[in-house]
Amino acid sequence: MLCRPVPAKRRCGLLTLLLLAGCATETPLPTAQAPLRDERLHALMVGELDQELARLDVLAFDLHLTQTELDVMRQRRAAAIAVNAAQLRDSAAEVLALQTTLDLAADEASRFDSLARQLQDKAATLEQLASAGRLQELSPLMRELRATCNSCHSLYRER
Amino acid sequence: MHRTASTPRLLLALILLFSGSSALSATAADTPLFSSGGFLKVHGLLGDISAGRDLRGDQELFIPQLPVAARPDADDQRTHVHARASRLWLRLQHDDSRFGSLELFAEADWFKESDGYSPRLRHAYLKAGRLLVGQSWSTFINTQALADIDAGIAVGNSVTRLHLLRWSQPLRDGLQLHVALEDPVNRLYFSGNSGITVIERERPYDIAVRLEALPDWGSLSLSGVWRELSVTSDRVRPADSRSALAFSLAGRIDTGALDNLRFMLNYGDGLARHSTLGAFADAVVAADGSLDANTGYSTLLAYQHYWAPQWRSTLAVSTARSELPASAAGGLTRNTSSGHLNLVWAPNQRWSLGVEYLHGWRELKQAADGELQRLQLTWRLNFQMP
Repeated sequence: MLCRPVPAKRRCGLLTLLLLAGCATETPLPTAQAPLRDERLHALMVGELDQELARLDVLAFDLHLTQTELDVMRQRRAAAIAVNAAQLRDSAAEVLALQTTLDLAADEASRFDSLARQLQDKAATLEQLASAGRLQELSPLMRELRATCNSCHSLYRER
Repeated sequence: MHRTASTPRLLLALILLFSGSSALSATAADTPLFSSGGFLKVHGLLGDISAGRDLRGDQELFIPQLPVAARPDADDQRTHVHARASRLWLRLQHDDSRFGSLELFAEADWFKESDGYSPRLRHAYLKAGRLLVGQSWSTFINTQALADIDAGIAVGNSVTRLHLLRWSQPLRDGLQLHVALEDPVNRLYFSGNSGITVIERERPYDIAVRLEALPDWGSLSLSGVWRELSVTSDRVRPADSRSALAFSLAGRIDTGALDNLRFMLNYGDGLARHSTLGAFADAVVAADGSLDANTGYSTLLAYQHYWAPQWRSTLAVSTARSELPASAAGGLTRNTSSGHLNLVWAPNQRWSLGVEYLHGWRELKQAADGELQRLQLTWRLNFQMP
């Protein structure tokens, strides 16, 4: 599942493999090559978000930092989450643009459009919450975002 | 090591300062926010040797009490269960005062007495913008480099909390300079005595500086402290004094995902106060009153690995040494080391359960040495309001 966290050091290799896989497959490729590559990047972005959230969560068990120092660390993590969420929001727009390249029936197109917009909205909300320091609300929203990714992939990933 | 003799006065002074600053706020909406939190922590320890009934050395790694000579009852008190490492913190924050952000913070654990549960003040400070005044970590220390271990402090870690006045100045993106005046305390060994004498002085203050970089991959710092060592006791004549310096290169490097490497390299003839929880003396005072500073160094290397988001381990190795002059007594600690390995399970942000193995060793000037091995089980429950 592309929405699982991906170790940082494997990103470049995984992206390369994805691109090569896209070229090597016998399945006819959609005509828009550039949007397809950007669309798959959004899965890596979700992985980075998961990693930043994990770095935020582990601060709960720090033994040595004062609450003042922990606040500084949380702000840094929140800023990184906001940046990643903004990138995911922009990448979701690329997913939305894919709709015209896929041979979807009317109801499928409607469903695809809805899921892509949900991804975009949730990423935008994630950015807003992280920027506002509402850290307790990030993890529940991240679960909803992953569920949106999984729904879309289960329906449309092979198209 | 840290002073607590003036704790009530310190807290009162900080509260009055905060109240006065908050009262100058322009609007009713600028109400200070109160929060509290901490954790309950229960340790179960099994060691292969005991430092003595109800001694701190049996509750955490405390090098000055690591047994060297054989004790007739050393096997009797090898198991302990305690909750002294539990902590409670209180915090008042006022982000929109006329002085910028204001924060009053106090934190305590229960290590004041090893045979009871009296609160020990760990931190108590007022932070007004970039100025911090009160009791907290010495500026000499990079707290991000401290190893994540439960069985006490690795011998190479500096963990001094003291009274200080610190200014933190951002220089550019990710770079900060901290400068502080810190409470001067000398740890002296007087010839003929059996132990180290702690002399709390009024002046001159220690001057500590730390240059800290905070890149995306962690933290890196270079710090130094200037101290004056002097004989203030009137037991010897003439008095002697000298300057002493200590330096620290420390940091934390994120090695991917959640894993990280932490290190500390400390050196200097002013290091003893900041090293190994009081195992070493700053200087030896000879019978004629002359003062001979002890040069010391300490090191720490710790790697933290996350097997999964809920499972983590830390492997830490650490050493510390003090060069002792010929006039030093044979019973002073010269060398020490510790090794730590743990496994912690944290299923959520509320609680965790961990097991840790510790090996500690120390050697005296007279070449006698002692070691201990300890297995520790730790349960921790976090709480916070709001």
